[in-house]
Amino acid sequence: MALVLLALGLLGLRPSPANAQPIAASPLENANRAGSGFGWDQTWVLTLGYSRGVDQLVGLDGVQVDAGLALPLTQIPRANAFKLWLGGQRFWSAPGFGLVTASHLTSVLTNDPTGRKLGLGGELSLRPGYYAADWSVALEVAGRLALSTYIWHSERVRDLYAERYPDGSGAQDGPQDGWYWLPAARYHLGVAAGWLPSRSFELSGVIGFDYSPQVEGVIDNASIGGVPFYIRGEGAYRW
Amino acid sequence: MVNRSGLATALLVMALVSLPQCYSTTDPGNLVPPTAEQDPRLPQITLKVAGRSRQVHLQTFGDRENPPLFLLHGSLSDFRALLPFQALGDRYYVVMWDQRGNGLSERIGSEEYSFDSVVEEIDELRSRYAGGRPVSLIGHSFGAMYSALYMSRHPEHVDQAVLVEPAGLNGEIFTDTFNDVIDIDLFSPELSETYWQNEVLAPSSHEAMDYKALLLLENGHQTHYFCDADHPPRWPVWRPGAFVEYRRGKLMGAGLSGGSFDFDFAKGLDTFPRKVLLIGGTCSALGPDFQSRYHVPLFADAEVDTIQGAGHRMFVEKPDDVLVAVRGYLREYQ
Repeated sequence: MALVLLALGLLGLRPSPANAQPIAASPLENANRAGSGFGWDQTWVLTLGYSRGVDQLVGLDGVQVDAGLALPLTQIPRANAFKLWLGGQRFWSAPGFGLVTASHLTSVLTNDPTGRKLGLGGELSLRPGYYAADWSVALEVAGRLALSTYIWHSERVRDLYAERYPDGSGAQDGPQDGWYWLPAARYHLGVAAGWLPSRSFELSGVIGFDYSPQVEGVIDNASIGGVPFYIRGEGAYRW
Repeated sequence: MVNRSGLATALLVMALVSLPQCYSTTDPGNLVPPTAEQDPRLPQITLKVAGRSRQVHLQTFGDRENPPLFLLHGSLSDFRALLPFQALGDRYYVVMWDQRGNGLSERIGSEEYSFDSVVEEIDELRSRYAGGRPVSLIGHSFGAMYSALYMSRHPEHVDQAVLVEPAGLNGEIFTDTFNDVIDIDLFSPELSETYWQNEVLAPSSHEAMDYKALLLLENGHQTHYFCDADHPPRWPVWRPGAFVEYRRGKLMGAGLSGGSFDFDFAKGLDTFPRKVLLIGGTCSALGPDFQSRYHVPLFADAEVDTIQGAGHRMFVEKPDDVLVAVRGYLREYQ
C-alpha cells in the first residue's frame, strides 16, 4: 500500500485524465464495488473495474483503491489493445459539497500497422461537486500523461526509410525502437453525476471535452486529431 | 522495511538515469525519415515560395532539352509512388518533387500554405526547369487537382495534362460526392486503432502527426478507393505530410468530418485549348464513371481512360497499364 501511495504521489507531480477511473457517486466505506462502463473516450471503450474502500486500513476517511481494464470495443476481436489501471480515490468533506481526488498508474498497449506500443503513465483528476448520500453532481478536471512509451516499429514504418537516395539506399538508417519520453498528454473538462437507486447498485456517467496538445493547438481533423469529446456511462454493484 | 523517502529517492533516481536512454518523438529520423534540410545526402534544391526559402526534395530524369514534364503527387504522399514515370525520361525532361511540406521536403508553417502558394511553387519550378516553356503535367489525386488549379490560373503555361483520379475540382462537386468517397466510420476497428494510438503517442508534433498519418494510408476502409478494402495495396511513401493534409482541409473549408467545402480549381478550365486526359481505375469511387460524370463537362476537350481491375493506387497495381495510357496521350509518343 505504501508503495502504491508513494508512486501515486510521484505521478501527482504532473496532472494527467480520467477514462480509467470509476465515477464513484459516494464513498465505499470499506465496501467492495465492481462495475462496467461503456462510452466514447478516444474511441468506443468498454471498461471493467473493481474498487475497495480502505478507510480502516489507511486510517483515513473516504479512501478507496481501484483497478480495472479498458478495452477499445471494436478492437476486442483483434485482441490487440488494452489499458490497465491501478490507483485510488479520496472523498474530501463528503457528504455535502466536497471534492474527490484520484490518481492512477496506467499501462496501455496498442497494436496497429505502425507497430506495437506499450505506454506507462498516470492520471490525476479532481471532481469538486455536491455529494449527497445517494447522488452526486460534480465538475471533472482531469489530466492524463503517457510518461514513456516503448515503440516496436513495424516493417511498414521501416519501409519509409527505404530507397530514399538515388542509389536506392537508406533503409539501414531506419526508425528507432525504444522508449520515447512524454509522447502524449490529454486533459478533460466535464461534468460527472452518480446515483444510487439502492444500497447495492450504482449508476454514473460523465461527459465533457477532451483536449490534447497538438500542432497548432487542436487539430480540427477527425482522422488525424481525433474527436475532442468524451462520454461514458457506468453501472456498478456494491457489497 | 524501506521508508517512504528512501523509496521515493530510489524511484526518482531510476527515472533520471533512464532519461538519456529515452528517445524524443521530435528528433529527426526517430519516427519518420529526416527531411531535406536535415539530410544533405538527399537530392534537393532551395525554393523560395510564399516569402520563405525551403529545401525541396527533387529529382529529374531525361535530357534537359526534352519537353518538360512535371509530376504532382497526391495527399499524404510524395514522389516515391511516381518513380515508375521516370520511364518517360526517354522523350521528356521529367521533374518529380515532394511538394513543400510533404515527403522528404522541408516542413512548412501554416502561413506558407495556401492555394496561391501551390500555384507559385509550380510556377517557380517551371521557371527553373522549363526555361519558360509550357509544361506537361501528370497529377495524381490531389496532385491532379493542383494540376487543374494551375491550368485554371495559367493555361498558357500548360502544354498537356493527365489528371489521374482527381477528386471534385470545386467545392460543389467535392461536397456532393464526399460521402461517396470518404467513409469515417466510428465503429471501424481500423479507425479505432488510429485513435487508440493517441493514448501512447499523440499528434503533438509534426513528426508524430506524420507517423500517425501512415495509419490513414493503411486503412483501406476510410476511402472507397480499393478493389479489396481489407488489403489495400501498399502505397510507396517516405513521409506522409500530415500537417499539409490538415491545412489543406482547412483551406477547403472542411470541418471535423467533412461539411461544406468552398474552393474552385475548375474556373476557366473550359477555355483550355487542348485535350486533357482523365484516368480512373474501375475499383475506385474516383474512377472513370466519376470522372465522366463530374469532370469531363468542365473541359472543352477531355477524354477518360479506364484502368481495369485497379483502384486509386493504380501506379502500384497496374503501372504498365497506366504508362500505356499516358503514352497514348502524350504528344512525344505519337
